[in-house]
Amino acid sequence: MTEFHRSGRRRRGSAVVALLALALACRGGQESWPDASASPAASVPWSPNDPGFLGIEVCRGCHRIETEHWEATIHARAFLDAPRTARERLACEACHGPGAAHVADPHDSTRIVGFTRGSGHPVEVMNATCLACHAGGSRLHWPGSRHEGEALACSDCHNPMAAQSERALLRERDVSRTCFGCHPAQRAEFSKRSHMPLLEGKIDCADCHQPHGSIEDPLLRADSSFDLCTRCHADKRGPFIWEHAPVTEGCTSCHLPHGSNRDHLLVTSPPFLCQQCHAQIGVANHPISLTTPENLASGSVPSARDARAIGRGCVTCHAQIHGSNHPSGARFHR
Amino acid sequence: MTRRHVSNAGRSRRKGRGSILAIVAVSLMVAGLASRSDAAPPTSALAGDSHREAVRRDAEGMTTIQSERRRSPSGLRYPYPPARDGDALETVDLALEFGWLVSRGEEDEARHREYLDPRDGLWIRRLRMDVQVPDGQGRIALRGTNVGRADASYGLELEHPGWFRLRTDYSALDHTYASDARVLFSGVGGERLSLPAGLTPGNNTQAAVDDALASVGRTRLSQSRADGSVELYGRLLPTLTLRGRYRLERRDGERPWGGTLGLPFGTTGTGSVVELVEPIHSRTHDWSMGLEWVGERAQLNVAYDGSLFDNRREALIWENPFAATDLGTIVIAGQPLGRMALAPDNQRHRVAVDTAISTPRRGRVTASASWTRMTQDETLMPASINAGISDFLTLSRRRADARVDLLDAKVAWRASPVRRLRLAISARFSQRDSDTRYVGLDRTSGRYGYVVEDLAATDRVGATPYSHRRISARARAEWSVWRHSKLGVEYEHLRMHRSGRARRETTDDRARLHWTARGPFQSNHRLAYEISHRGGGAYDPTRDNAFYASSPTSTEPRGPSRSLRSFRQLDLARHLSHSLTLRSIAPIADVADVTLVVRWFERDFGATHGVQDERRAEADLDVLRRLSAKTEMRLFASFEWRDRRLTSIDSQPGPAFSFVPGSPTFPLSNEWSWTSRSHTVVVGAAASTRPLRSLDLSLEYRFQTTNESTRAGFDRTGGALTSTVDPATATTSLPVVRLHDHVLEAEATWSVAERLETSLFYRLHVSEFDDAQQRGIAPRVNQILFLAHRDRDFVAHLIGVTATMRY
Repeated sequence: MTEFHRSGRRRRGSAVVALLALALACRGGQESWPDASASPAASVPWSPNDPGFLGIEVCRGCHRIETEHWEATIHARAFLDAPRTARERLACEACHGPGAAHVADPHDSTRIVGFTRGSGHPVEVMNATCLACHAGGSRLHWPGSRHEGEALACSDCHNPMAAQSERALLRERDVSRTCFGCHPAQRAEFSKRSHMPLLEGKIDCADCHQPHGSIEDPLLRADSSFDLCTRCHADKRGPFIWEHAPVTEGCTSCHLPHGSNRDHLLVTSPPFLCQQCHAQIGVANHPISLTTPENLASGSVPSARDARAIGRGCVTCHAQIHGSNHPSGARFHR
Repeated sequence: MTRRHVSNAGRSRRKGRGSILAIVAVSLMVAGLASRSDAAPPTSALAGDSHREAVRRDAEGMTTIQSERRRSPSGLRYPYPPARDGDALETVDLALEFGWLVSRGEEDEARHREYLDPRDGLWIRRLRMDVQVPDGQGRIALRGTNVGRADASYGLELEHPGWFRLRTDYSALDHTYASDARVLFSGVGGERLSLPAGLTPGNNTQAAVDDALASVGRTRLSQSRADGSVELYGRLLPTLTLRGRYRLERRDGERPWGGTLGLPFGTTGTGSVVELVEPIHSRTHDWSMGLEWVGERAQLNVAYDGSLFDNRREALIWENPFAATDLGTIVIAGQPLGRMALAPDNQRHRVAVDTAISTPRRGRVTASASWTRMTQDETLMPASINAGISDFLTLSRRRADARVDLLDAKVAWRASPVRRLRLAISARFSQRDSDTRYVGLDRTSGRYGYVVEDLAATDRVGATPYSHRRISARARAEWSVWRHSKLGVEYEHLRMHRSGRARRETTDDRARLHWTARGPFQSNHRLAYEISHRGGGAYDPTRDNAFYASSPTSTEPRGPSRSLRSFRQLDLARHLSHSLTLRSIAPIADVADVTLVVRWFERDFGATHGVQDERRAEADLDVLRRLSAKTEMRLFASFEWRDRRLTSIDSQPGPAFSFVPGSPTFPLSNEWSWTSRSHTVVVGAAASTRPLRSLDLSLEYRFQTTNESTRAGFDRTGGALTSTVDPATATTSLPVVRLHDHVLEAEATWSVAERLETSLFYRLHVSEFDDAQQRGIAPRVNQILFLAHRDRDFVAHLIGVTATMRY
């Protein structure tokens, strides 16, 4: 007898035992299935004591390729080899529901829960099936999130049927490729002159955004953009004895978070950037006189060349623009 | 071979190999290797992802039932799955790709090597090892890309599926800022920048500086960042999960910086401005711990995270290369030294609680609260390093004792009273309470103030911490119009109160209407329109008096200082915004997938002075054709257009200017405006194919062009320009900023044998760049010393030849 057959017999036996255990657990109230504890307007449309569960070997009979791909995923490793719950022991049917009705009428896609286009089930049902196990952690904020509101399904971004990505069972090979499927503009932004190293593979969208929902728009992983950016740029965090007011409210007044045609992800170059807020009068030529080509390093009049228009512009002098901890740093020179 | 066919002999052999490799892996883990990302495996620019299997696709796809490729619910076609490698499971799977990398052309150009290490030499492109513990009791995975290089990444994961996971990641990054910096000073990377022999701090003519610069070569300025983390996930109970993470980030190197000793505006020989080199040598420790509990009707997350920033460079001292005044025949010595405080050590601690409880009518209440404290208590340095200006006694306190408390609380309720309707309301309160406790006392005048630019004591008030408080409420309704279509409306009111700003209170009202529809023909559409308005309290133009009071009399005229009464700061100004976004995903007769995103955004400020308006239009088109597991093609194009307009005045005192506080005389002949307009176009194509059973080819080409123009408008009879520019002949258009990039990447992989592959990789980057603010830059311009870095055109080739061995 081959290893395969021995394994299959053991597995079928295990499935029977698991079903019995599950039934007992349900009767005794020892284990029940969460109805996507978030209850996002839908719940799993079948119950654990449904008599129609058939086991993975029945599924494999028709879906050999799907089963083989699925067995390379973390779901399979957990469900087949180290199941935590009676539901996980059901393998395929843990997500797709009892297969008996489907076997009876394979052409009716509504007889079993599907997670693809045209499966016949509303997105809410698909998501509730996933959330029945994955409601914890960041998914706490999924109900009511922007992605949920726009009817995204878990399976729009994840593909539990194949080990397509190294982690998280994503639809594409990595997080960024997955996000670019709906957000192609960001791919273009990341290829601009100054950009975060996303296309270089050093960060990904999920470093800053929490696609499952968060309390801060746009799906930020922090309470504010200041909080988010200073998690990596801790030198800008302060607090400083001299603060630059807009910095305390966020970084996007001056910086574009993905990429910019200007240095340092700036919205536009100094002095124009700074002149959007600074118009104090009484200090001649500074900081709000108009810069013209004559003020550039390439200007024809040597005496007109001006530090504000060349290179780093205003921040050549106001180098500590994010805040200063020097007693003479009120204007961020020190 | 499936994993159920693995023989016992083979298994024990692999077990032995696995044990050795496991020891190696654990050793690496102990050495502290690890990524910043929770979800992404470590990758690198040249190596791409480390998930090697993704290269080969399973020609059978994912189903024997359907000939058509499956799509996600939103209509996105799933890629062909990775080729199955049946015997890789349950034992040991090892892959090593190594070879040689050659770089040619202007490979040293800063923009080319900004985030990658293109050095010639041995290239261990990918390293991958998987060890499966029998019967699925565990898994060890080791990943590495660009091993040993400046942009290396490593990852190690120990996992018992569903119960326990220990993940360590390491990612290094070399950020090059300039390869051509002309640094006059010695001591780059340290806390003191010293002038070369022959120059006297604070007393040199411009000619002497030129002589010294003549012998200065080019210096590379770069910062290396290494980021390692250890992350733990453990399921303590079926309903209780523990998460913990520690991360250490190390930054070393230097980057362009600046310093000033007086303001050299309007004359050629006064003051001193210097582009410096900031030393970077810091460590950031982050740690977090959290518990997540999920019950049948409720769930709870409790988390604590902390961060400690340790900067090992406290100050930057530089020797003044110029004199205070150099008028050729008259040279007046200036202050010899400048010193600035670098980023202080700081701490951050945050405690957060999130909870959700199910309520009747398919409802749910979610509540979140967090409290954060950020502190910094660095020892303050004297107001000036130069003798005779100030000392420690002028400081009101020796240490910063700065503190910020953040409080954030949000509660939301949503329900579905009838099947097709969803309602949601939420309220949020957040507050930033800053307290620096520092005030500067000018001993010479007996008033609170501080010393400016190492020149003289001036009268100033103390530091003003900026605090703010935000209260918002949001309501949303979504109605399922028919089975696969949803209409939603959302309204939000936000009130923000700020201390120390020209406008203390602003209110924002935002309304959003969105529609999501599926079909017809497998398509998916999302359309959203949003309108927002900002209003608020009165604008106080004199608010900034304290901050823009008199400057040193030797450099600038004194006068009443305030904002122009009619001027509105960008982040406080009243405005009205509209945005419209359309996202469509649609197949073309099942031949290709088309993704189209169109967005229009406009914001009208309506202020007399300040930013007038900004507009943005974006369009993105992505056509993906997955012909088979062997062939895939993609065409993409992006277009972006931005426009922004500002009106302001010059502050130069003149006949058209009144010093009555807040009331300049109209009409303003010194009024000016600028309009910035840019457009960016990205087009490209990618294809991958397997023309022969043993040959894989991939090719990607991308072209990007950016043009950004700035056009000025001003009255040639007025005083809108700096005093050194003749308004009669001044030009109005700044040279256009241009960037043209061509990037071509090609790779051919030949399977020599079952466990041996060889690859040829080629990358071409052709870049043309012109930025007016860099054009003509020289190491010295008047009394300004520049690093003279300029991003240049370049052509760079990268060629790599590798062999991949698998076991």
